[in-house]
Amino acid sequence: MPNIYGMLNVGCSALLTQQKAIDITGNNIANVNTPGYSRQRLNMEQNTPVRYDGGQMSTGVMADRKIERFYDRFLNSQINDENQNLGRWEAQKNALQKVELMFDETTGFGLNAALSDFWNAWQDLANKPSGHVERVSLLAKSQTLAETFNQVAGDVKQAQEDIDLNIKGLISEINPISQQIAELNRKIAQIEVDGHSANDYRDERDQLLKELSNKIDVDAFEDGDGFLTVITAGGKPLVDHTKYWQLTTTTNLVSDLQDIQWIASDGSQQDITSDIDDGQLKGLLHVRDSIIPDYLSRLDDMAETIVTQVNGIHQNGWGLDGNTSRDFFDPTALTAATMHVDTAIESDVGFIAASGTAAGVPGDESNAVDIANLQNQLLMSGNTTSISDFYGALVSDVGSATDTAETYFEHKSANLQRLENYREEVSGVNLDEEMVNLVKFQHAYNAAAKLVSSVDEMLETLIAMV
Amino acid sequence: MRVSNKLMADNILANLRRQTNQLLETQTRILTGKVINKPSDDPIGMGKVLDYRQTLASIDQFDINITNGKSRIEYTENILDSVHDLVSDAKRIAADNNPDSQGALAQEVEDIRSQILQLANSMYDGTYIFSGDATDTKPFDSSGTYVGSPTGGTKEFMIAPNVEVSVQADGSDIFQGVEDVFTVMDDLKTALQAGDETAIANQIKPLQDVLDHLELTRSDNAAKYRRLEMSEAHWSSFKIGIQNLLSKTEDADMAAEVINLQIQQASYQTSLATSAKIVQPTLMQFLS
Repeated sequence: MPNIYGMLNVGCSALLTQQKAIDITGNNIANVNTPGYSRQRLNMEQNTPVRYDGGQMSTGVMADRKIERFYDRFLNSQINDENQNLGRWEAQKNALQKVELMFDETTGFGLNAALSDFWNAWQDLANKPSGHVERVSLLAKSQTLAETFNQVAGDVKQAQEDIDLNIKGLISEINPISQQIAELNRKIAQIEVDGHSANDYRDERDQLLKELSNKIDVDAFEDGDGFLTVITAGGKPLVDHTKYWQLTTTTNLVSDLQDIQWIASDGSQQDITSDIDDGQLKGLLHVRDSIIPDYLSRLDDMAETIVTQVNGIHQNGWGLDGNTSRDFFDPTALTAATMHVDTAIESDVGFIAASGTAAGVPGDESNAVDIANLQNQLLMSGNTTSISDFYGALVSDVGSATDTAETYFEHKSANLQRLENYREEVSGVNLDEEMVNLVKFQHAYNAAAKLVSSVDEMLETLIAMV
Repeated sequence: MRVSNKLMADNILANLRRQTNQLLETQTRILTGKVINKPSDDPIGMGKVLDYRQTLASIDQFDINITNGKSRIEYTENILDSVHDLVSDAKRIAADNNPDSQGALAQEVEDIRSQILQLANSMYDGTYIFSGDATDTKPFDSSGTYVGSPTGGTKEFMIAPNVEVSVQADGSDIFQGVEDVFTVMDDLKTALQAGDETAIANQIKPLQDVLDHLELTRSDNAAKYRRLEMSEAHWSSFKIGIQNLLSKTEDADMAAEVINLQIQQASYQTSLATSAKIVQPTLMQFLS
């Protein structure tokens, strides 16, 4: 037989459940712009009916303990994969764009112009071998050439050191993330063990994993108890259950750059520098350890060739003072960073050997002509390229390395944007939808309240009869 | 497809960002007038641009060298022309001397000799041009003895990569190659002073030899001058070609860029306008 107090209970369960639904709708609206937020929904079901002689009677509505979170696990792991790759190319692009600036030849004040000026100054000297003005100008052009080499090599080296600092900074950003994921693992397990859902913590953990995957290559999987295991380069764990491992950097004694070390549970360190193959770290390491050393060695090749070739011919010539066998550039400084004009030449431009014979001083120009002709000789890359062409190829390579990184970055960020769109399609909040829900739940709430007040009136009627 | 509010906002942002980037790039190209503003804009083109620039710098230098060579040859030619006239005068005196005025003629030959000596000791751009490699030494002393570079020497001008034009700078070859012009003058003067008709007539042959030798040097110089002129013409047309290539590679096509800018601006403005319309309304405005 129906029971009047039973009806009150039905009204009460409806009020509470609809209120909770409105609460969750409110939370969805509040988080419409929160990155990584997955919209939630309250699932409702009927309360267990009671049986009585006349049949079965419903007892109202009940909210599920577990609040549903709209979420596509597969999509999220795809986003993390793509994000690792995006991080790699973004870091590589940013680093290379800075290196590219050092080879700024577009304005025409770079190494290319300094080289042309240098060779032309030898031709000027050939036009008037005894001329003091020509000699002073040749010295100035040679000094400019050496200084330009010094500067380009120094700037590129500086870019390498800046990248090194960035790597150190990245490591110090990675460590707290591992720690936070381990902490969230603990909280999620605690909450979910008794059937509740730790949706907010899960969103937070997903967001942290996404951040982490942008920085370093990670593999992550969740076990049945809700613990997320994170494994990084070389199969080294970063997070397992509530345990976490840290990374650190040590200075490499040879290169003076930072090596990345994984700290094992016993405190010992293992070098994982060469194992890292994705994320921002990979991009930075690749530029620091492969691209920049290549550029530097090519600059050094050029500097060494110029120094040894010019010296080789210069030694065969005679200066205005009638002496021979002098070096033009300091023969001990064979790198782009150190190359400079020999101090003896700097102290007296008369020592510049324009004449090819002792008797030819001061009017013979054959030695200056020979040096000027070095410009077009194939001295680089196993005698297949001239010095200027070799440099042109270097600048061209710098440009295409940057261009490639930019293209990959554009491509990867478009991919990620598309995946994020899919994620938004599943997990994102649509305000119109929430408004409809709000109206729906509010009406249900109002109706339930009306039910309670009806029951109240019924009871009053009943009591008045007595 | 479910469309979330964040998705809509993200898409609008991403598209606006892309469009402003394009606008910025077009603007840079218009402002600098160049399509290559950094090596990564066109890596291959950048390599070519560097090659063209270096070629242009070399051409400019070869032009300087050629101009230098031409003016030196012109200067030398002027001198040798004067010397030629002077020697011809002496030859006329020897061939057609008047016994009555031999004293005065001897004096004239003396003057001719000193003028030739002066011309042979000429300087160009601060250096002696007939003393071989010893450009700081006067080639002939007052007795007409050659004291310039004993090994002679030529003046080289680089007119192309690994190509040099050499101009004779050895005064002992030019003035004393077959017959020593100063000795011949001295002999003629002595013969005139002595009134020795045979000796005077004997100087005609060596004087002619001196003239022939001068002609040889001058025609050699003329050939070299012609070569310099041809190189100059070659470089000046080559330079225009390279400049064209350089401009085609690195200069922006202004008309195209400006039209691009217009199109991009229009699409940017359309995006802004439509975005503003999409972002504003929600269901809220229609619920009371």
